[in-house]
Amino acid sequence: MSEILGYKCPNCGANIPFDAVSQNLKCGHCGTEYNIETLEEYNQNILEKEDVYQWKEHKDQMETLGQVEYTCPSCGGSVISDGVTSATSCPYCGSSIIVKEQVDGSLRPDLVIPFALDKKQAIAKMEEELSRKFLLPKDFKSKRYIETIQGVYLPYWLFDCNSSCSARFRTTRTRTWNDGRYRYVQTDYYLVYRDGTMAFEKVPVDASKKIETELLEAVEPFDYSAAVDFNAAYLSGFFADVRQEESKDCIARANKRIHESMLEALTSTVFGYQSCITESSNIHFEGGDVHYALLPVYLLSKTYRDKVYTFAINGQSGKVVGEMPVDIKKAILMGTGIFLVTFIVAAVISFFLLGGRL
Amino acid sequence: MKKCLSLILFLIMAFAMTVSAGPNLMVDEAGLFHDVEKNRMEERCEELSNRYDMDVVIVTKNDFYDGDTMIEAADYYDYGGYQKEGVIFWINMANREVVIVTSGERVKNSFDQRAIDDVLDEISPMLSNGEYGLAALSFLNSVDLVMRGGSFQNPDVLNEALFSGFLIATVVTAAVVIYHVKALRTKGRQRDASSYVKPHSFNLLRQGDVFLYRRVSKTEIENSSNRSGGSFTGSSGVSHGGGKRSF
Repeated sequence: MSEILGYKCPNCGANIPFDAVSQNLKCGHCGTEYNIETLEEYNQNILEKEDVYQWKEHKDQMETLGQVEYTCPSCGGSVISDGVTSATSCPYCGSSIIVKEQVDGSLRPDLVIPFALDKKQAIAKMEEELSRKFLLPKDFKSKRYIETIQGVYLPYWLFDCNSSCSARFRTTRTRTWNDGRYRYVQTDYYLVYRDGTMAFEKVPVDASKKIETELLEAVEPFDYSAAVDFNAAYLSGFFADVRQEESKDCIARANKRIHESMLEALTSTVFGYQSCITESSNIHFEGGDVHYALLPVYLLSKTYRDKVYTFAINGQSGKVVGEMPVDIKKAILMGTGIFLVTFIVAAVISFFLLGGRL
Repeated sequence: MKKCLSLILFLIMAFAMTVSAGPNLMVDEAGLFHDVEKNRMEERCEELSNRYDMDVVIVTKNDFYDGDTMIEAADYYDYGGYQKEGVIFWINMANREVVIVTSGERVKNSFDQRAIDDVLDEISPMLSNGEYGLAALSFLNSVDLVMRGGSFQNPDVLNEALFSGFLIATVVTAAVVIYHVKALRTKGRQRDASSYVKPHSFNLLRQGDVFLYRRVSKTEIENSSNRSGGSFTGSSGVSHGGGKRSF
């Protein structure tokens, strides 16, 4: 009497009934043949566990020093200062109307990275970057505008964890040859599995709602070796954004970035194949630490054609990021010039290459 | 054996021609042309032959030739009693091939390989469409143009060059403008957290590569060459220039 066990075909997913007596392991649906060791190992490495991301809860402390809060009635953004530094324009939208208000205290960050660039250096970095943008409207390159740049400590949540990850890949190795009449392509299919661990330190996720995440992630990375415990003295001469998002609102973004990095590290250990597709992956960590920090960024904003354009400069590295508008007239002039020159040169070369004669 | 028979046939024809008034410049054995077309072509062949002191010959055949049709055409010309300088336009309907063969240094220098290829490229589509008369007249016009010292220019070359220029200019312009527009946008989300990985913290705990199954596919290799040409020597030992196309 036959003993029947159940396997799924790795190629098409159909059930393969295994007959222990006849030793038959051929998929009735796609015709692929397997040996029992292969399917046993395949089954052992199916990942069906749920991802586990577990973070500790962050405990806030209140800073009781007297501070001044500036609020922009135009965009609703607000920054705080030590009371000595005064805001003349909104760093988020560039509006010159700003309302000053005394506040008793605010949530104290765990860490701060002090500004490494002063305002002059930041302006020089900005001028250098903008001078390379040929299609940028002239107004954006004016010194008067660039000098309105403001140093702002932006609120970030920082995430630490030791994670473990398992991943399963479907890979192929291909060989081709011909016998003069036919071309042959032989493709071998493999299941590749990898398990590993990795530690992450202070993965930042911005806690500001006033500035786009795209801008604040583009300005990364920050060097945490310069990070120190928060002291209100670091605010002197700069502003600080008020945190608008809690850590629980930001963990999804941190989880996604950590998962991607883990998967990338495991994928880098798979080589010798022509193709590699991630079939499934699973991540697990517990007791991840969360910190609240202020990180140094210079902001410069301008409204152009009813849209606010904001630039950010990393206050440590000087990296400049942002979205800048296109000067349509410059773009048309540039396009027309390039088209005419290229057209003439390419047509003449093509004429002779195609065998034309004068 | 078949080649020998053809050779004997040519010799007989050559003898017959020398006995008569002179070799025919227009031989339509395949019956591709109307009488009016034939007369017009014959007149044109004679006119060009006299003007350029050469023989301009048009021949159509309907017998399958088990060899190189360029040799077939060259032998026909060499043993046909024609002048040393000349050109023959040869259509073999059984082989579905068209051939141009040039003879003599002066004609070979004027009607060079590029000119032969240009003419064949222009008239091959006409033959595929059954426009035999139009193809032969185009050949005669090309002979006139080339021997007059001008150059045969496939009219498509200029259009193709302009089109290529337009295409290249459009792609280059788009690439440069897009590059500069993209340079204005330097913001974007980070894909991962690789900048924040603790140094040397990655440990690979377990790994395995399991062979699952093998697939082998085979496809037939196509041989797609329907054109050839260049300098060659006929059975008579005379050197010729020429080219041919299938249609």
